[in-house]
Amino acid sequence: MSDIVAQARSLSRAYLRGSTEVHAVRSVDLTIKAAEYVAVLGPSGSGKSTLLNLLGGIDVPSAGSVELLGHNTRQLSDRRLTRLRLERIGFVFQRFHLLPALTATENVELPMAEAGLPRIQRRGRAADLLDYVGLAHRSDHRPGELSGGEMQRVAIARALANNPAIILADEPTGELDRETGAEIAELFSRLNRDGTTLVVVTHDTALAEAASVVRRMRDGRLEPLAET
Amino acid sequence: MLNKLTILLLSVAAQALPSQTLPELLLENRTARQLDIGLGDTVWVSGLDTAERRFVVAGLYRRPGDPSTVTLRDYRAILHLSDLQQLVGVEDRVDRFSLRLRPGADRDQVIAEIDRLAFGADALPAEQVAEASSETFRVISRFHRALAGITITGSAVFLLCLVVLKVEERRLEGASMRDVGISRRSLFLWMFSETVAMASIGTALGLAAGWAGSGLINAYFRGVYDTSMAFARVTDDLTLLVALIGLATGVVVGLLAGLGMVRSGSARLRQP
Amino acid sequence: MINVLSLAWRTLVRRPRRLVLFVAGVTVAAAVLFDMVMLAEGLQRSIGEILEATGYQVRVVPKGLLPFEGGASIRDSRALAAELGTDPRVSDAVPLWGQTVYLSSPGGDPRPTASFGYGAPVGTTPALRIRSGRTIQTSGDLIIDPIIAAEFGVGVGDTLLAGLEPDPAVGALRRRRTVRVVGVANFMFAAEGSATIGLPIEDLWSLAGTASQPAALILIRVAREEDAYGVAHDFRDRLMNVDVYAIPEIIEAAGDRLTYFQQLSLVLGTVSLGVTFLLVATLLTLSVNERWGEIAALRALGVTRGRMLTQVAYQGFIIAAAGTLIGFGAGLLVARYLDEILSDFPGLPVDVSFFVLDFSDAMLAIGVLMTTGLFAGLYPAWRAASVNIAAVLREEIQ
Repeated sequence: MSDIVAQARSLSRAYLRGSTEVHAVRSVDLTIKAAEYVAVLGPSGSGKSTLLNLLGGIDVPSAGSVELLGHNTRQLSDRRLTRLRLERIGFVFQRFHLLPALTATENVELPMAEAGLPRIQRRGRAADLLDYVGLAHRSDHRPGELSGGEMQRVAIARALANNPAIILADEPTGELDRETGAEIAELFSRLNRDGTTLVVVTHDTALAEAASVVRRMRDGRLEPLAET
Repeated sequence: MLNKLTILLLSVAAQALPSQTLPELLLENRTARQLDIGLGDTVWVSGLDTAERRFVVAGLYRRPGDPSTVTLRDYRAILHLSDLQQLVGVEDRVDRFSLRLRPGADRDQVIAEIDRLAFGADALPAEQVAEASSETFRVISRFHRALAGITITGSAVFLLCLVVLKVEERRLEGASMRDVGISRRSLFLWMFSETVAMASIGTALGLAAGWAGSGLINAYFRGVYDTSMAFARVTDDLTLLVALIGLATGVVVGLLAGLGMVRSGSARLRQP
Repeated sequence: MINVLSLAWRTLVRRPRRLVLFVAGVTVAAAVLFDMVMLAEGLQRSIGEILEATGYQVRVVPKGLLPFEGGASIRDSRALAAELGTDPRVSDAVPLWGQTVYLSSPGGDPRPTASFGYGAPVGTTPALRIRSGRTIQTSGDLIIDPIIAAEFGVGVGDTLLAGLEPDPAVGALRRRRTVRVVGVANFMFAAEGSATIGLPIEDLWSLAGTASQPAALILIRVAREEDAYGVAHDFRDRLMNVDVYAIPEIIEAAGDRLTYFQQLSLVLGTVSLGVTFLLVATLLTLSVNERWGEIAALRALGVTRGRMLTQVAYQGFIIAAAGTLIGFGAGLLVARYLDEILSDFPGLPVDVSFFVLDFSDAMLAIGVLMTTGLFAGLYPAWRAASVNIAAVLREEIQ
């Protein structure tokens, strides 16, 4: 059985900003294997977030293809793609994007509820995940009552909710101070040690240092592989 | 004039017969249309207990603009008093007299004297009669004022809704402005003037809509009731009142909006 | 709990001040709509109820008029009523006439008091409720209302002088007669503060000095309710100089005179719905705009378009539902206040209301309001469901 989780072939993405065409990703080839921890580094505007969105099926390539867990994302309907994201992919965003109306537990439960998991099971798993990320004592707090680092931990727990095959994280420490960022970096390392496949787009060298594969991106192109 | 409860029974057979010396009557427009009678036609008219008499239709008239009667669908005609008295079988009897007093006459004294003499009748000043007969309009007027009050309340709430959204939407913008040194006073005036402007524009548009609407209302109901009466009128006083109320609403809501904007420092403004 | 509805509710209550204001706005609009629904046919319903309460289902009136509208009369009404009464479907046919009757105390202050006198055949009591005493049973009987009773300080058993024509020359009532108070009653069609009496129609004819037995209308009671329309239709075809109406037909004809209220109701009701739509649409559009990033993230996490659309649409529904519920109560209170104003119309029967709550109309209004709220949320809901996830996330971090 293939241990390739995601594969991009000659992947390109261009979009219009005003009247200017921006080539965010140019002919990228990338293979992500199971249990890999891939960090994509690059300056702002290098296309790394766009690459992550393409890998996660939330953006559509202009050219080339993305195969995600054996599915060509261009051949999937929006409904199937959404389902794939729900069940097999976890996302962690720079700005956390927790629902302010829900508690930490409920935020973690949200993807499980969407997937149809019964309430008792959801609750149990949410509690376990919050414990895993070190926030069991804050489970009933709303995002407005949590610090940045705590919110990101909740977001990571949420990303793990449906036991995804891969977690895609876009600048997960971008809104955090150095110390908190280091804690998140450590959490990601732990996730990977426990077998989670990670792709992290970042400026943060601490995150990059923990990765098993570091790729650099510049002007929409991936530079050749640098193993660590 | 006679008591309208003794209005004659109009049995009509209109023919274009020579009028000769037939007595005349005036027929109301709608009556003429409904009975298919025209100018110059001869009609037979009888009272409850009297024989028919022929009359010639000497003219058609439009029902006066009296809101208490304009919507009625009864048949109406105007006859010479003596003819009407004969038709309804009464002599020397009327529903009311109207008196014009000589200059300098004491009206109250005249009224008292008539009350003493005229058994079964009351003498009333003209304005009292007018007031009694205009009670319908006063009721409508009160009703409209009540509706206006509800409308104004609703408008104030709606304006407040929009303004609250605007204040919340501009939290960050306001915070940034405070950061760069814009004073609270300026922030207040910004929000206040925008709200007042919104209220003013809304009021102006509302007045225009009201003016246009009154034209439509008058055109419609004049057609329905065949009358020249004005059913809706936008007067200068009313325009001024509406403008003041609209402006006042804008000022009050603007004050609340401005205060909401400057209530706290920039840190609070940034809170989600 | 995090089902779609509870998520919608909790998203709304995150900003309680905003929610309260918008619900207040919808409440005002809903209250106005309910009031207009009640007003649209309220007066007609109310009059219809009073007409039904008289127990007579069909009315014969002078052509072109409604009952007691204008002063025309039907000639030879007794004979006509007798003829109509021979129809096997008819159980009773009663002529009714009204005139201004002057009353004075025998031997007391000769200045007469004007009252509105209803003349009906003896033994019949159309459109009144006896408070004390009995109905008219013989010539000379008189039923008075509490106003006349208080004015003259009389009760059952007392006598008064009645006449139609005050004669100023002699300072007395022409063709007067002594009448005997046999009952005190409330007259269903009497206006507030209007003195009203009932007496035998034959006495009224005699006082008027007329031999043509006039009636303002003839009331007809049918043996079976379902025959009312048929009887009205048949009599209408038969009789040339009169109009014949079953009660619903009177109401419909009266509607012609009440165009103002119906059109006011239509205009204000439509405006209310428009305002509701605008309020809900505005709030939800702004709410969606504020939550773009959150919405994009939810879609990225795997929340389907349908779920997203439903969540936002539910928010519109909740606002409309809350405003409708509170607006219903507020509408009833406001209707009471407005009804009190309109009840001052001169000549209006005391029991008449302008604002009448009809269950099916209320349900319709509620349904329309909720649907409006739902529809108002559809566009912002559609926008939320159609969010370009990548574009929004990209702009967030740029």
